Amino acid sequence: MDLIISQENIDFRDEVRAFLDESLTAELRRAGERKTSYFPHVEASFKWQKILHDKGWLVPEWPLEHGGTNWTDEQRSIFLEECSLNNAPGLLPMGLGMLGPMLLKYGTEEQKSEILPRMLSGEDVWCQGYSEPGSGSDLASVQMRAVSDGDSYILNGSKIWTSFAMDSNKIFCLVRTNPEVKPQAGISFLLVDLDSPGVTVEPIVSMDGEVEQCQVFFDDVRSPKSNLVGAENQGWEVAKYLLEFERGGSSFSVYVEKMLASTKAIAAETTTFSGTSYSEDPVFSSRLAELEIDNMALTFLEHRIKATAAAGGNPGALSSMQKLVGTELSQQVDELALELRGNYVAPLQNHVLEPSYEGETVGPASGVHIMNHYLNNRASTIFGGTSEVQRNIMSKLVLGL
Amino acid sequence: MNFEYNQDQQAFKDSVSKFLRDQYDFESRQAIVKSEAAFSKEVWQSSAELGWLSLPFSEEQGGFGGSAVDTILLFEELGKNLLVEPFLETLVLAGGVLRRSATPLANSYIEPLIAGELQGALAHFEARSRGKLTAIDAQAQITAAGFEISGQKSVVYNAPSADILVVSAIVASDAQQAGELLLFVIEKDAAGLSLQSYPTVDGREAAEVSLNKVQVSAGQLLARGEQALSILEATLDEALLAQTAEMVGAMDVLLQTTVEYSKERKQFGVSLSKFQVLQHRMTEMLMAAELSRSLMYAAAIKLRDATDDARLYVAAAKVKADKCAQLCAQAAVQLHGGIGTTDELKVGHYMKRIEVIRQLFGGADFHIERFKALQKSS
Repeated sequence: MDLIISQENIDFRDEVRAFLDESLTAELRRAGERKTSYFPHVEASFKWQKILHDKGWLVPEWPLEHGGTNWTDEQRSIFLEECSLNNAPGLLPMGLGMLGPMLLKYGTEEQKSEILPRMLSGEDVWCQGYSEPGSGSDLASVQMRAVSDGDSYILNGSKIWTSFAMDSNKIFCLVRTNPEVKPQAGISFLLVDLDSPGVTVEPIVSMDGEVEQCQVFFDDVRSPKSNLVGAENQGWEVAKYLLEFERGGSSFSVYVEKMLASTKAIAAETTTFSGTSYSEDPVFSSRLAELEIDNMALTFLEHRIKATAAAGGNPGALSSMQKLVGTELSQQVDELALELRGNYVAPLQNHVLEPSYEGETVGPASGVHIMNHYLNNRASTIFGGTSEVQRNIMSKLVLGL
Repeated sequence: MNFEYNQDQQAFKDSVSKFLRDQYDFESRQAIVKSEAAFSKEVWQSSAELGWLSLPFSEEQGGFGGSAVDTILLFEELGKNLLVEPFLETLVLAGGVLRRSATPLANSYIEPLIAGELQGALAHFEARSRGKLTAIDAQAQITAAGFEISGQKSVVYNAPSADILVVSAIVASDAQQAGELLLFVIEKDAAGLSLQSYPTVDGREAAEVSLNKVQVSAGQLLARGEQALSILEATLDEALLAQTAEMVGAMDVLLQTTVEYSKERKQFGVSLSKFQVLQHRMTEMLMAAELSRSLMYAAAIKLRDATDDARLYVAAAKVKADKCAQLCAQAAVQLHGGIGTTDELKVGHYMKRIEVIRQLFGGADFHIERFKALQKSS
């Protein structure tokens, strides 16, 4: 056991910081600072993707021949942490973080060479078609049908909670290719062009008034069989791999750390009625400190998960723990931030959250995102498997109950 | 002890409930929120005709002479239906200061208010106040004709629609009564008074109010010094109790909606309502609502009877409801799943209203500190 950070990694951190200093414009930083969601601001994320792609740092964890960097796990963590703390806008994860790694494992050579470069360049934007109106956390119950017709499938049904389908041109779907067998055995993993005839994308307005989610309808949509990933009816294995990626692949502690840093900065410049800053307020500062301790524990849980994975082990249900703890902790930080924002939680001013907006805000500019973030982030304990489902997974797989 | 409403109160509650059931379902509410108008003039007029607007005013002032118990009765129903009409602002806040000060000018506004023809707002809190009544900086200079007021008031609900604003200020430091709190009533078209208006997340309208050398006459002074402070305290206590009642009403609906949904929605082949962990979470919601309601009743009775510990109980009831209502809103969204996070479903709208109420006149930490201070002084 050791916690040593090498001189090499210290130098690496300096290199990352220098790059961020140089490449993050005020507008891009604003996109990170006023981010109200787990997801980035879409246009800002596209700009950021191009910058990272040009630098060669877009997909550090991929193999070198597909655009990776050959960084160590620690270096990748340092990079993510610096991006987050310096208010980089973030990237849409569905393609780069989910489908990409999945194709590297399960895709054919043809699929890799055709799909991955277009994904990196931003030419294709991918969304994830998993949930359906009748199947949320119970993913094995998907109903969307794919009926074989010569070289293609004909698709009918709908997907819901499809994040950023309105900004995407491609979707990866779980479809039912065999309704006769037990649910998990009749599912296939299929790539579909959203521009195909018969596809309709309908936005869903969230309670914060913004649109991130969509429902996607498929009405006799044709998709070639060459778009299958894995074999027919073998989609469940592929999907499970991806779900583990969704739950465990990203670092929740880095996300929470940024929220805590932002809350701390706002606390320092916000005063109670008596004129003392919230940083000095005993009640508030204790509550903040407690959340910081919780996040320190999560940070090292995540380090352990990564170390296990790096050593070739399977962290298994620990990815459920990471997702559950991370999202619930982020919601607690949101609640604390509401106290700082005080009566200025009330003004509805979504337009000021646009990264291009440089004008006045109602109430202090530094916390304009707080109420929207609180509302938006209620979804984090629902998507990717609810907190209840994560607890079930742990009780079953870890405790054997 | 008796926690039943009397016959008249129950009849009034039933009539409010029936009217809102018929006229104010969630779809109608959303249509009002999305319309150009800040709220429904028709609903406001009907509420005047049904006598709701006369509730807290004394019989001499042309009112019904209701008490704090009548206030919770009305606001529980308003909270259930998530009304965006400015009952709190016009009736409890502006109306509360007017009726308690009872100057000739104040009294002259009460008749049109009861008739539904006058809207008001309380422009007291400032950006740094955070619920503390005495933490204000707006200044009043004494002039030959009366006063000249300058200052900034923050998040004043209903100011965009108000005909009159009740405004507070501190006597400027160079005058004899330096530091004394003053309360005025000012018509909204007064020179030097300007609004930066905006919609709010809970479907209403509010404004940042700027007062730039607004000239007011001595007749517009409603109260000063100790009297002004005690009027504000009594008015805010009633408002905090009304907010508590709104949250209690909201909790009932959140629980009922969640229980219904859990019976309909199936996952893993069974209704959500069959999962023990979800049953327990809904039981937590039930307990939250009933504990809040119990303390709300106690606070209302004590406020009606003007007991020594009434303020302490109001603070306690607000703190309890703040915590419980947030618990209910979060559980309702979580148990509804994805659909619970959308604009289409009502649970998110209850969540937004609850979060605004929790912060508007000081957060839970502030009211806990206030509770502790009240305990020491009693």
